[in-house]
Amino acid sequence: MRRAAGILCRVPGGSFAITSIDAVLNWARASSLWPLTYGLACCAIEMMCTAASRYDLDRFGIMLRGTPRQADLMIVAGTVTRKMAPVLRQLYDQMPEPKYVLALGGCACVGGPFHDSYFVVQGVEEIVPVDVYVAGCPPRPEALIDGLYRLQEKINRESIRERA
Amino acid sequence: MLEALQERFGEAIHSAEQADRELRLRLAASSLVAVCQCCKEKGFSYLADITAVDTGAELRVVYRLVSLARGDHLVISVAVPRSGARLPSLCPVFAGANWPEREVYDLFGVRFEGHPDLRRLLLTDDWQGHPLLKSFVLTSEPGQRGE
Repeated sequence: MRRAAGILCRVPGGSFAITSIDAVLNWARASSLWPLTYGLACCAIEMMCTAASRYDLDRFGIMLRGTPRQADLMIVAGTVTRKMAPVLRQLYDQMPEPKYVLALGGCACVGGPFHDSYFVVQGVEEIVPVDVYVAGCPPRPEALIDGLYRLQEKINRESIRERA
Repeated sequence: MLEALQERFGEAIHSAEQADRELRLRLAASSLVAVCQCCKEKGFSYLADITAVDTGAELRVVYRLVSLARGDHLVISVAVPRSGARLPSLCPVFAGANWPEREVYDLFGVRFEGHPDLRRLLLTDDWQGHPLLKSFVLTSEPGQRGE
């Protein structure tokens, strides 16, 4: 909480109550992102590697979950086929708000090497809204960590007024 | 092995070729199940894979049988027409033929008669066409896709 108090003291202006709730909520949300482990292809290997001891996502408060009910971030790691698409949408719908989506790798971003393929979804944004795109085939763990930083920055810019 | 098969099935074996530990047979579709039953009794007890090849002129459905005891392979191929192809199902002989036959039906359009549950395996149930046929137009645009 010491860090939160520092954020609160720096908030300028008259709408102190609302901005301070924003700051606390954003700090809490950005500091404990629990991603749904949605591994579909080789990008999942990088995601697992990022969560393991060498890159250690736990130090950012990021812990992979096995169920959408406990998750607030969906890392789509891999190739989404047309048959998988409704499953992905259902899992997204089962996640509680507020929720975010990170598209990991070329396939999840735009179809990747399966560009113009007959059975691969050409970017997961066709099915769910995407917050952060991480390029690469597959992206290195550093790239995924950078993507998660970007998502934290995005969360820190949010306000409960806009969400309402 | 080959001599025994030729003696019993004769004309049904169009051609035979021995390469290292692999025996390759081209069969008439009508004798497929009987030959596979015979081979299973002679030790080729493992059906490793079923697939197909679109040569442009015809489809060749390929069955790969393995003798786990001896390490020998037996490759059986059967020619069928490219559209409206029908073959007897191998499910009564090898229960493991179920999903490979569904895959070949899904991607090449070969209908296996006597199959207990011939639905698409990899593509969605409402999919139109069979995408591993050479004539299938491969594109993500639904309107331009198909044969």
